[in-house]
Amino acid sequence: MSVQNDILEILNQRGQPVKTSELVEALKKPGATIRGETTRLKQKGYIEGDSLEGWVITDAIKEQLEKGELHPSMLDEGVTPRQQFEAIGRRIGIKKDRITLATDIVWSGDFNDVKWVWEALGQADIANDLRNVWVNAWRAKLHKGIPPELETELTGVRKAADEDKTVVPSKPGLSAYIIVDDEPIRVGENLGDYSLQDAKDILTIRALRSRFSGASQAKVASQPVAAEKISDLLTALGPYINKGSDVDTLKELLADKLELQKQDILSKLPQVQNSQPKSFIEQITEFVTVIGSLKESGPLIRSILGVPESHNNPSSTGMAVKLTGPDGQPMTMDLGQVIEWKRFQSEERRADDRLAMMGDLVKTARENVPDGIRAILATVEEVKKGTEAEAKTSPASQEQPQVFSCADCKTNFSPPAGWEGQPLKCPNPECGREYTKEELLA
Amino acid sequence: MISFMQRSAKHFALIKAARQISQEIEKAGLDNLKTLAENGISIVGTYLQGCSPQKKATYRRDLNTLFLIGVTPDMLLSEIARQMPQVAPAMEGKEGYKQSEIKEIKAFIKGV
Repeated sequence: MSVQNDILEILNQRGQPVKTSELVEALKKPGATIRGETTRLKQKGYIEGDSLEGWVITDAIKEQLEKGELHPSMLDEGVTPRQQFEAIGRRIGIKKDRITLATDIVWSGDFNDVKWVWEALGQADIANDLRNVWVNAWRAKLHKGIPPELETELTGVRKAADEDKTVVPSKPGLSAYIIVDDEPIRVGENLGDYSLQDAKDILTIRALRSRFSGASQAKVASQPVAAEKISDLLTALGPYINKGSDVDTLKELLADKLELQKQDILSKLPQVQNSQPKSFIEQITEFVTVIGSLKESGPLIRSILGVPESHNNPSSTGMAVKLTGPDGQPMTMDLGQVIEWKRFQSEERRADDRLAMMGDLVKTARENVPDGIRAILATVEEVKKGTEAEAKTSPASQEQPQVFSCADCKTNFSPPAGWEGQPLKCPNPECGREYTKEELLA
Repeated sequence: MISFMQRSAKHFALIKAARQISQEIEKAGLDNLKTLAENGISIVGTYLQGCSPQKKATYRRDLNTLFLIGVTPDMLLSEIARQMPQVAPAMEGKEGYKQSEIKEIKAFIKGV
């Protein structure tokens, strides 16, 4: 079922706006794919809405879908040859406009013809390396083999062979044979491992070796990797061996070559330099690096150097270190484990310190919080007292002294302190009018 | 006008100082303290005068700081009395005892 159909099915089932993110989750497809498909469906008028508010299927399409009349085209599915060809270009990383141009040129001819596709891409000025990948991918899609005319361009084998020819004198039938069950088999020019002559020489030497090496041969046969190495050595020795040589000479030659190869392997390993004295840390670092490279080099080199293989412990370096145990007795541990142990110890110490610090903090807080609360309460009380005292001393709260005005001479006068309503005289000596309490208060 | 935080800090410092002093003088034993108070002998003054020169210097500096932020000897004594309810009646019940304590503290601060 196509992605577009899936989207339409979901929208039909839900019956309410469905966001793009929900479609991505439901269909388990990349967001880009869903966005692309929803855009195409909207352009065709199948759905309405947008990514944020959600998509809704249109009524007409809903009806068609329920009747089973809706079938996606190849174009909808993105499976037309042209779309596939363009998709390869996009995956390679070619720019969109170049893809369109190249595809137009290819489609002007027979796009099923690999040779034409190669030429067309050349006309579109696609770089050779990208053109090579594009054509090979397209060829694989068409299930077609490499045309003989493009063998050099698409495989680069003949080119390499030509380069070799400049160094090594040419031989008829170079690398056209492989050896299967002690028989040289032709697999095609430049597709095999040996020339016919080389294959014959190797088979002759193998026959000699099996006859004369006896017990050592059995041992070698039990180690397929070593046997393969020796086989390679014999291949390399091929040009130096005359068929007429005696067995002792052959053995000597083999021994010399093996020794040379061993020296070659050892020389490629990092060596500890003794020119300058190094600190302990530098030595440890260098050692760990060497051990790491040994681990990468694989079991063959480890077995040559006698380094034991680690079992089920990824941190093991295979190097034993002598330490003094907690009871004062010497003990031996793997260097990797020692490093792990030290790291664990320091992490534990840090965790303990952190815990102690937190404990101190909590203790201090526990000691001081009650005092702090009491201090705040005391301050609140103080503030309250201050406000009350202020209120008491504020002039607004004090009673205003009564002032009377004489109706005759307009002289202002106040009653004496402790006045209880007895008649008062105007203080003006020229007036001297006497007022009763009722008159004053009126 | 001092802020609420400053006032709270002042009270906090007062409580902590009173706690430290009360913890120190408690070492003399409650019965002895009561006897001193009943006989009108200043407890705080006696303690302060009996300290080592180093401790005296420390206390003098701390008390000065306290007074700078607004804590008075009266407040300090009240807080000590509050924290030591066993001695408080003897300290506050006796006429003029508190005043003599305050005088002793002021004299100590001045280095007399």
